[in-house]
Amino acid sequence: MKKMVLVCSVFLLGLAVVFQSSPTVAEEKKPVKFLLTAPLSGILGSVPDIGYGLMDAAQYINDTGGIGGRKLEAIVEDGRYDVPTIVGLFNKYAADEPKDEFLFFCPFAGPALKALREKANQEEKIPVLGASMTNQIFNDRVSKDTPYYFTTGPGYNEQWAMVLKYIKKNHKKSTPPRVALHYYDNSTGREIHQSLRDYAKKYGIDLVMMEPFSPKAQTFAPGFLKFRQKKVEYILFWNWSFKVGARYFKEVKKYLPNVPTYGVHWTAANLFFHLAGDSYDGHYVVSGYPLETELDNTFIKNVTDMAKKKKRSIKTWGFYLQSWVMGQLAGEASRQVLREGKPLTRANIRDALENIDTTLTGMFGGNKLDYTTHKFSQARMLRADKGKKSLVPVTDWVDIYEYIK
Amino acid sequence: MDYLIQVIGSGIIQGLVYGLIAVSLVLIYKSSGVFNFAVGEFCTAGAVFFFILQSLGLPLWVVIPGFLLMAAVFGGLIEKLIIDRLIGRDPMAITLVTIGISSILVGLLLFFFGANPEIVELPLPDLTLEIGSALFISSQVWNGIIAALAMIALLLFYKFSTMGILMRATADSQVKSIVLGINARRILTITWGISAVVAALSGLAVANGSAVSYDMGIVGLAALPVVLLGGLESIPGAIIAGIIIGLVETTSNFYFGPWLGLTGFQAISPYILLLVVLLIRPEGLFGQELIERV
Repeated sequence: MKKMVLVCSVFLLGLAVVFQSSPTVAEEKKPVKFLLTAPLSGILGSVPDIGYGLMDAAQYINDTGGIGGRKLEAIVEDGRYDVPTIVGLFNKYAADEPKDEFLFFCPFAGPALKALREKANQEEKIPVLGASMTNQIFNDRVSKDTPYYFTTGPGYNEQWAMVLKYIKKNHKKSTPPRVALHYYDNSTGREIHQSLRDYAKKYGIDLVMMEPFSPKAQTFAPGFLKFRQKKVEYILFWNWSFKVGARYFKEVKKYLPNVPTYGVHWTAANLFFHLAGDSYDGHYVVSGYPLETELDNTFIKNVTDMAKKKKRSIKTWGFYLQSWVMGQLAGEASRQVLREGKPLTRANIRDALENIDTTLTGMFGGNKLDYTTHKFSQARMLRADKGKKSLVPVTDWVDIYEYIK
Repeated sequence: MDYLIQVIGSGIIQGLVYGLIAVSLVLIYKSSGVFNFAVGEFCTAGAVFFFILQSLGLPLWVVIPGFLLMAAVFGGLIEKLIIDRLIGRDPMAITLVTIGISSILVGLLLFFFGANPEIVELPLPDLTLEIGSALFISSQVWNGIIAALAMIALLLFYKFSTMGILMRATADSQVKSIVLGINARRILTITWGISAVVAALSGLAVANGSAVSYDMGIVGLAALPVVLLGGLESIPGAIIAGIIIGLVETTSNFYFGPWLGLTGFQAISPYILLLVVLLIRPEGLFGQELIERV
């Protein structure tokens, strides 16, 4: 009996030693860390929905099997939309966390994306899923210059090109459409000027003027008067502040009631019906995201079910969906690496992202995401409908690169 | 011509709102030598009070006095709980404390009001003004009227009411007013209350037609060049400087900026003007020249 106990004890001890020293089992317990420096305070205000989106996506990934036994861990810090703060946080995590655990990062601020260009792509070589779709990074050279940077939407240039093409396609008059850009006056507001000129020329559109507005402006009226004088038929409204947008939609309807406005990602939000009322009606936008009201979309069903389960009170759905997508992309790219039988390293994840094979649970109406450009390939045109108090699709999901050819 | 009318009209409306914020700063500076860096958060708090009462479904005639009363109590409380304890200290030290108050208020607003903007709409008759092709929409016209009426009421109050005279006396010299039997501490509390009311009206004018959010306090920065240009102790100076800055901003945005080929010129133009004026009159256009005996 004593011998039996001794044998069993030695066997169990041996087993414990073997398992403890086994890299596979130890590795399985390590979390996959995703650092998100969300604007929870600071100049852009507080948008907690951004943090909730990533946290809930991580839970969704973990509830559906995790990443080969490892959990996706969302680390949400307050980046304050401030470059030094974000860079400081990134450096801290880069120094403290092991490279095989700290595998994803999102600064959620275009300027920080620019500031960390070298550190993230050449030194750390960490996959970065950005929120900004700036053409200063996400252009034809992205794969070569910043191979670890990916964005979570179509590029701004492509979105505006899609707007122009849509205007041209639906323009009823024989004369070229007279279009004006009204833009938030900062570097991002100015970055699209050249490509707008190029696309306008390509499509036969008369780009009448490009007029800046100050974010502090109490009125946009002088700009609207210029548009009246120049007989502008369509306004491209380039803005990413809810407060500015609310005032803008109200004013433009008074000054230029028959001139439709067009926007991209940042003005695609049903929240504008709450802030600007019926003035938001008739605004056209390009969006790479489905709407929170489209419950027949399986991606939206998953997202809204989780939000309900977590008792979230989401107001800025666009932000919530965007950071959810980041979490889901992180989970799916990591799983793809493991499916291919490779170790989960930053470089392998980058390659998996570039060649990802996913529909993101049916996000684009079942179409696959082509991420070879590091940008979303799918987009739709939506129109604000006051009857439904929601944006409604006016085109199907299309390959944006095909559309703007 | 219509374009010029639009630019000038918009500038004046914008300037009246800036002027009102600056008046709120001047009231406190005159009475205690303290520069209230939390003025932007006072504006936000006022707009939030308005939003809260309006969202309760109360009629406008209850909402307006209600939110002004809340603002007065709020300003008085800040003075009683924080500033009053620092009386006798260097005004510069108290000024620095207002920076702390500003940060605390931002945090409290975020905590209680939340992160999302909320719509603010004054349900008033339509006063949309059309002059040729120039158009001033109703909410802007009302914002200008609110700012102008508040300034007139304040000037009348300061000039003719007993409390206004007591406040002016205390502002002139706290020591002399105490000798004359005036309760200077009480007057100071009331001054902070009135300053908060003025800031609340400014906040309402800023948010009306748009939205209020916890971080709206950045609007307080717009009053800095105004108050320095007009002179730190002068209420009429703040009003006139407000209009000047409003006009400078709009004209530089729509005339000078494009002529010079400088986008964003509007943002720096008030500071260029301020620099020029301060080089000539360091005390501002209407400020008092300080003569010190040596």
